[in-house]
Amino acid sequence: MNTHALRPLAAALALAFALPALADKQLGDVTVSSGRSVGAKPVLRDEIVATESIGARELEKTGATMLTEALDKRPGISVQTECSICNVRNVVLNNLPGRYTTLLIDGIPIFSSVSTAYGLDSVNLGGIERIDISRGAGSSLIAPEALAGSVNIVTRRPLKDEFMANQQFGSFGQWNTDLFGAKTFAGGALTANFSHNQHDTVDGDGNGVSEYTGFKRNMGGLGFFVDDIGGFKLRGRLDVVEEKRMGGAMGTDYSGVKASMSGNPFDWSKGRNGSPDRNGWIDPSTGTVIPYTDGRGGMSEIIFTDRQQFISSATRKLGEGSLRFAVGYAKHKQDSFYEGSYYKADQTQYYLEASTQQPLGATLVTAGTTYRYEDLSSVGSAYDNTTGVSTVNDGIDNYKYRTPGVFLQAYRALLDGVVELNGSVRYDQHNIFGGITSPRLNVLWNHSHELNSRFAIGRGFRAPTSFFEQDHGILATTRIVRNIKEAETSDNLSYALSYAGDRMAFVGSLNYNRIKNMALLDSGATDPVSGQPITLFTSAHKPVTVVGGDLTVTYKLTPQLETTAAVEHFKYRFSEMGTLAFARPETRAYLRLDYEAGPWTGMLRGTWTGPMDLDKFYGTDRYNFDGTRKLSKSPSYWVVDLRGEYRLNKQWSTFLGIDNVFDFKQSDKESMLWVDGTGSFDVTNIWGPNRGRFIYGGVKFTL
Amino acid sequence: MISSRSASLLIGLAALAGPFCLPAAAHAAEAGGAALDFELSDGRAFIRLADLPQRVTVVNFWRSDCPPCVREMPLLADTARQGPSQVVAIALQRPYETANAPGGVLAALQPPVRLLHGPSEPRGLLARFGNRAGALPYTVVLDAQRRTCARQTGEVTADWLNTAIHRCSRT
Repeated sequence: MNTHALRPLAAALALAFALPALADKQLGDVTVSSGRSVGAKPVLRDEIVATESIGARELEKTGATMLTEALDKRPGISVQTECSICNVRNVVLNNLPGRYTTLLIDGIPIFSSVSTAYGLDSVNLGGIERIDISRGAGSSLIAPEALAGSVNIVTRRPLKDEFMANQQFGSFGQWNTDLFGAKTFAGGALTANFSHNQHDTVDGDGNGVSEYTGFKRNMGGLGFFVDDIGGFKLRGRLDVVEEKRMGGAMGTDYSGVKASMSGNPFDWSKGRNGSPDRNGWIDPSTGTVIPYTDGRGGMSEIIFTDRQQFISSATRKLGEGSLRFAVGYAKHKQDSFYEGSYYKADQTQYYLEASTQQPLGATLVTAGTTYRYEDLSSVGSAYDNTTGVSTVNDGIDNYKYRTPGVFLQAYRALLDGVVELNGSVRYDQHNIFGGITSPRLNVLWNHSHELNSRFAIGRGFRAPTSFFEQDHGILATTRIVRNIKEAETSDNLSYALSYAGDRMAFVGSLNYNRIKNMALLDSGATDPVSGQPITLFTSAHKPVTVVGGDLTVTYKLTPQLETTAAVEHFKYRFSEMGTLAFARPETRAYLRLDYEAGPWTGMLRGTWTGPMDLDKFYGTDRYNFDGTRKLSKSPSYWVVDLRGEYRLNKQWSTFLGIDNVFDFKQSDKESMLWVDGTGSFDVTNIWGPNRGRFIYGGVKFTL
Repeated sequence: MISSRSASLLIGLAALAGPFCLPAAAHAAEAGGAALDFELSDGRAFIRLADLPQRVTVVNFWRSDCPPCVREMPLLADTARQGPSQVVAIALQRPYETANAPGGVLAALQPPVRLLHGPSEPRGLLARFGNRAGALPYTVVLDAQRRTCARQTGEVTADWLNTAIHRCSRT
């Protein structure tokens, strides 16, 4: 008998010869697929760390034009909008705050505070192979700050010359152009991509204040792949992003809006529970109308972003194992206008890594060292709308973090691969928070060819930042008092059971997350000596716990039609306001149909979001403009999306899609704007879609 | 009382020690054994391996972005044309991606090669056919009773294929 089967250790070694973050690579004459998902569903990849993978084709099928759209509406994964007039969007894993999700590109972490606020919409999707999502603290060996999990964008090494153009037009002035080209040569390839994406501001309730922020975004990128340079396999990517966005006032008259700081251009009587007076809103404490007089600028946020980013990695064979070096650099500039106040931030990040993976007997050992640097330097001024005077407040949230770290990981397969173990530990020496240890243990137990279990227990840490975006009020205070001594830590325990049959697959997972020392910014404090307003930067006294489970079942009904049903249920335990600052549902359900036959491809997706306990997350001191109380509990709702594509020939395809078919939007039920008991307004009463029905279509050309 | 840092270190040490402390057990590689089966789509209907003619069957797992998979496709097509064995090519990708495969591959995938598409999550299918690691290309030769009698990870050669088919014909 002639047999030649790769054992788990050999497979792990094979993966090691490719870049660690790239599981599907050429190894001589073998492509290690790692059981790569080829379908439309985010199903577990066959790795010891439970990883959900979204392929490039799946991104196309959902009509996603940016990362945040690509990741939304999946069990255990969603996108949280945190501001109705600036549309900060965070990727939420296991319903934990978005800042605990770490974004990596080819395994290199190069996003932090400023860049995760508005940067996630600007992640270039050109030339990528797939997006891997791992939920749980410490799921990434090199990103311990991923308290909720990590999102890794894996770029694709082209094997032939390529050209792709995608032109899409949609409602609300949406216009998206994607260009991608690849040139291969003996032993390598070069890629180039460009993307232009723009969208108008959207005002669903007619009061003149947008709920969906308009934007214009240009992104360009260059990639390179060299298969053998001094024995190293080299790859890298340079990305440049330029974005302008504005919300609140409609349109794109940025300078005009900034200059408009008086009068009332809005109609506060419009929309659900609108004010009885179009010129202002009711003060709940007195019942009288508070007139609005701050012009278009007083209700608007304008953010300009410039970002340059470079990542590269080199891998070669070393002994029986591999050697890897990686570097990352990002320069992120944000120039913002917030209701009259100005804030400019300049952030720099570096990442260096050296690691090796070697077999020691039957154990595969990975050891390495990383150095991470990030700083933030800001200048700003706070606008006082009662006096019309701005006060300079430079550098209030500046920080500089240096974090050298070492890591060690051991992998071993037991019982002829029936059980696989992966234990790891990191030690990081943070310049502010000192030495921190992050351990992790993963176990994969193959019950049969089709059925397996994954257990994981781990810890992560995150050095909190006092970044302005968490609380705009800090600009109005004289200084930040840092009463924070320990990093945020997360303990995570998870179990996943997955089955992969020929027509049916399912994944069920249970997750327990407990976050200690969650950082809090309180800009409402007063210096007890001087009486000046200050910001307190503190830690929560009690841990925040989020426990949940999800189940996804996929079944191929016919050769052309596949259905997916999923449900997730989460519980939130916290007692201090501001820890979990945005409302999350306890239950969500998903139903999806995918059709593919001949030249036709179709997708129908329904997402049901259960009620949210708004009082628990937002407190009870919230009122509508007519002085009535805001909802204590949000209504449940469905959002249905559909998309169809027809392939005219090998080069040309055309597509048409509708998101939110039944036009459900929060502003029909309740405004995202709110006032507190004294009549001060805010923009964060968010629980539902901020845009109604969206129709789009376009063509795709591929060479 | 164990401090938080000590507890972390203990967990870390336990995590690292775990793989070394448990005994390794050696099991014979799975081969031969029970008749294999699958239920996969050819784009029009679900095809069961058990329903195909009872003769030597070459089952090949491939993807169009895997160069050795593409290189060996003409050899598999020749084998199918020459008979008497039958060739089943299982694409571990979406039909859309197969339709966009190079012209030479599409030509090789014409009958008598039987083209099927693997499931969305192929690891169970691959493991059942002896490829737990998921390496491609992967070829299994089954005897008439659908039992494995030869398998190859990586590109096959004409010699290997002929020898395997010959051997499987005698079992």
